[in-house]
Amino acid sequence: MNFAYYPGCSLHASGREYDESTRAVFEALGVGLQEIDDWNCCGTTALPSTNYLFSLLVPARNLALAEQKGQDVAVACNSCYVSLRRAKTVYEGNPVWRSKMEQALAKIKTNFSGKVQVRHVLDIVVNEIGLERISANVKRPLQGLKVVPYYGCQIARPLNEFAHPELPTEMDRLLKTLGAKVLRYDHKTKCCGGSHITTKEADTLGLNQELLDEAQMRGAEAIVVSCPLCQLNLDAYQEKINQRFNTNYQIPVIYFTQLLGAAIGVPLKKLGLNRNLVPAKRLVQKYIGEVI
Amino acid sequence: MAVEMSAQEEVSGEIMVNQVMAAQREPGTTGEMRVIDEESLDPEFMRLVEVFSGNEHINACIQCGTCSGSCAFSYKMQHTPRKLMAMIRAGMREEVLESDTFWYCTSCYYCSVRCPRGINLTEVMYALRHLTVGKRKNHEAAAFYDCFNSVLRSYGRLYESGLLVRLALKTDPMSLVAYGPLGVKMFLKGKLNLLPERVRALDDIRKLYDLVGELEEETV
Ligand code: SF4
Ligand code: SF4
Repeated sequence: MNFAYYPGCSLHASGREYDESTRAVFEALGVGLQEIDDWNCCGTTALPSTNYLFSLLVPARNLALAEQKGQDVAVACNSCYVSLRRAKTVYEGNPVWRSKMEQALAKIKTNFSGKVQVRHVLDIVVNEIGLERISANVKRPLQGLKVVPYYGCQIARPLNEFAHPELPTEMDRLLKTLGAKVLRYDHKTKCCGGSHITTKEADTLGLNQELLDEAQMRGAEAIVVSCPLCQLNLDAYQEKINQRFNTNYQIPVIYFTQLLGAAIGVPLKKLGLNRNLVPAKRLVQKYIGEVI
Repeated sequence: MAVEMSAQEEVSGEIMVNQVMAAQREPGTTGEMRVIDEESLDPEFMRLVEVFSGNEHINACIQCGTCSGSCAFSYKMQHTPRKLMAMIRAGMREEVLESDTFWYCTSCYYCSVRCPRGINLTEVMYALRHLTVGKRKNHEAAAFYDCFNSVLRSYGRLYESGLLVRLALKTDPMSLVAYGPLGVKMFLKGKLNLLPERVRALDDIRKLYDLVGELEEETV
């Protein structure tokens, strides 16, 4: 199994531990990830907010680069996942814009057929590698670590290609397989506000306070995420939320790949656990035992 | 608010006018209506929104309010998503484009997956933002997206520090100071790049940008 890997900009910056742990986990499980050479930003929600056609062409260039290699795309960021699939969906379903896309891409000598598949790494882990194989690889079970799985919006919406748009279970099942105690979490697909944290900070902190509130109420020791924007808002802004709402949250926000890696025996230093702002490493060590 | 409950698929002229009037009632008032000057309506507006949102049938909206009930920011918006749909359909171009509704949208796609008529409202929100280009007022969100677009054309990838500086220069330079403490923490954790990553084929990206204006014009 081999994939063209699209890390996206966040995974080269604020979500670096997601990139590190994704690579380490795929390596440990024997699944190839070749980073797309010279990939560009997916455009996220910003380009569609400024220019429709440009917002389709920019991600399409990445898809075309993967197509040339004959590989399907593996993507970890929920927002990149939507942007890439959005370009593909319009290309496949809208003849008017498809022809515009073709004309423009021809000018930069780029062929795009739309055949390439875009897969989220959670989808690959659960549905390609499979929970049976994961289970056979668990060397250091999480021994009842209490977690809530938080999927965010853009992993299952608008196209529910592998997960239910409102009540997905993929991360729940994976974390159970790893030995964690997965708690009920009604906010699992509510919105974190994404990049609104920059321009509408007060409102966006409010959304995240609600997410933390339910996690705390359920007794979660960690929130497990699959998106660097969700992680940033919940983790880096947790202190601001505490100041603003007079709360005292201290809930680590951990990528599912970090816990998966820890459980299947990847050395913790390869999982970037020192980078989470609300300390996460000690919690993980507490459950899987002292390891180097 | 009985007038907005119509479930007809074919929107008759009378219902359309009723909806416009319903859309004009201010929240919290007891049904006073403002009569709208028909001259001010743009009959082409709905089609334009359809073209740039990839929707084929905004007219199919039954004004059920599912979108508004699903949106985390309905309570903040000047017009709720449902109301905005009625306004688009009626051709209230200026009032729609001046509203703050679509600037609140976080692209969570809740409304889109729940709409019983299969309308992709998230794309409608994007389309409305797109249609304000060239006449954006002092909207911080608009400034953010414009800066993002220009950073993308400079490097091909997002350069967060550069984006924040450009945004601060455009809006409020003091916001950089506010970002300082968090920025330092992020930097110490290796989560903030001081230097941009650059795409080698930057010329291609710029060329694509230069092409879009013309290609879009042919479409509308
Ligand atoms: S959910 Fe769909 S049909 Fe219902 S009001 Fe919103 S756009 Fe119209
Ligand atoms: S996609 Fe936008 S308008 Fe729709 S529910 Fe989410 S925030 Fe509201």
